[in-house]
Amino acid sequence: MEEISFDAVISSLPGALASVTGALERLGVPDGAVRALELSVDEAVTNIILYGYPPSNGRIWISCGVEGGMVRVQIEDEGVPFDPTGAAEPDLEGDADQRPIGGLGIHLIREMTDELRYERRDGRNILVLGKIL
Amino acid sequence: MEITTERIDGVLVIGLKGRLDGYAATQAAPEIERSLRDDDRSVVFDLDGLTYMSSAGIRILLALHKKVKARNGGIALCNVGEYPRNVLSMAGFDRVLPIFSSRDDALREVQKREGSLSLIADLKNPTVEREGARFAFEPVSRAPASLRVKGSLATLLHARIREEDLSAERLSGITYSLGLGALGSGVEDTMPYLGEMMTLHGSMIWLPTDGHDTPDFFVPAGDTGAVRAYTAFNLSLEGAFNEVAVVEAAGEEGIALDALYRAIFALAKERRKECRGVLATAIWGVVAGVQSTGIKRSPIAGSAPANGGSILDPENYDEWMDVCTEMKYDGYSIVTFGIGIDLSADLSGYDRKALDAIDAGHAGPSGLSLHNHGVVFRGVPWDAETDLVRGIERCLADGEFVDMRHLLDTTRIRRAKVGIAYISAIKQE
Repeated sequence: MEEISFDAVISSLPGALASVTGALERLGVPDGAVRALELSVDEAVTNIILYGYPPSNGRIWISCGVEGGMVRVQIEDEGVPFDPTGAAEPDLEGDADQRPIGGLGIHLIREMTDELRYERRDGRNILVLGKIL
Repeated sequence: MEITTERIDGVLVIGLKGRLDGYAATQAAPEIERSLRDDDRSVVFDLDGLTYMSSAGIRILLALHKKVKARNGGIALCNVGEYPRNVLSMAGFDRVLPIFSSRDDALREVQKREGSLSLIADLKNPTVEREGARFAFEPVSRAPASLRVKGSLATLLHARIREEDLSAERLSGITYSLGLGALGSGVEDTMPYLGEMMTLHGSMIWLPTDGHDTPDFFVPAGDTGAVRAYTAFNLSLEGAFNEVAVVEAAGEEGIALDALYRAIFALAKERRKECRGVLATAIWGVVAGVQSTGIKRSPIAGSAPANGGSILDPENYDEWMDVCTEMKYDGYSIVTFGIGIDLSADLSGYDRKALDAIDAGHAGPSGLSLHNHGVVFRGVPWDAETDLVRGIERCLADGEFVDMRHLLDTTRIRRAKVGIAYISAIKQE
């Protein structure tokens, strides 16, 4: 189990993503799954930073592990309670200029992962992203 | 993340290389915003070398697509690698955003659209070419227009303005004017801050001579009378424009203001017998670059140059005038009002004293004496279908106010609607 923690500011994102992919590679996760989880973590963390915390406040914790043929990335934050698993599917049809811009991130997470779990525990949002190996 | 922006035959091409994650998107968005001109309708995104993209990248593409679509344009993508293509496909955007295999193909496609739009405009109005720009004329009013002058430029330029030269203006009564003035509660209040000003459709825009070099944009909310505009010199248009010229410069560098006036005078000789040598114009357009001056100190009696000369004399110039010869505001919108006097014309039909009051006596190399002020705005989409007055109103209501300056004749305009009044008389108050 590798753990990463960083300040919830958008400039932390590139470093955090590099730490996550590095950790996943060390765990022997194949390249395709690493890339899928990288994008999912990007979407989830960007969302927490931009909407979960007041500006320049708070931290985010990420841990990665492999268990029973499944790689899981757990993201925790102390921002406002938000359950992305309950978000509505965005409209993927229609003209580009009429499509709403929101909701794409969670849609990509759903596409990229095999397991998506959320719970609110001890004042923390806990999001688990899983991918079958 | 590496962003490059360039222009190919006028079309903005944005190159995005490397990783476009949530952070890179926050860096890229303002840079893209900056490079977009108010008259851009088409943008090509070259994604060659883009190895990673999240939904934040899609948001950037989509935001720009919506913006230019509202201008009857669109974006085109090219050199889209496997990773961004998969992300676009998962989000369902590979079907709605046009993707081309090469930059040339993307450029060809957007130029086809640009070409058909200008063809429609050409069919509606025949154009003539002058000074590297195309002109098409739309008639407006047959009624003769005149200029009303308050004060005199000579008094201003010799810094001899006294309190009795100042009087309050009712802004709501003036559609187009330029001059020297200030906002305040009385004459005494405003004397020290008199600066370059213009009024457009009842709004006053001025550059106070308070040392901050920051213009002020004042829209009177009803005529409460609490704040009034005091002017020492004011030149306003009475009557309507006689015609509107739709001007499109052939090259990226635009057409200089003096060349624009020169062309209008030359065309008037062939087309408008009523042109007697003085024109008033209002422009709504997109600039290739603004060069400007602004008076630094209030030219009131008491601060006059010691040598008794004009503040524009070489030995006094630097002390009195702020000159900006850097080409600024490429791609921004501008609204101008000003006059041009063709000194080679027979001007004897005008009231001599009134004519002297508006002529600074500084003719440019083309024998024209020009005096124009301009307000710069950002984010007002250029639309050739919108008429001049509505375009100006749109700038005033929706544009982001950027600057107001006395324009140098070298200010360059890329495309514009130019309201032209062939001045029949100049009246001095």
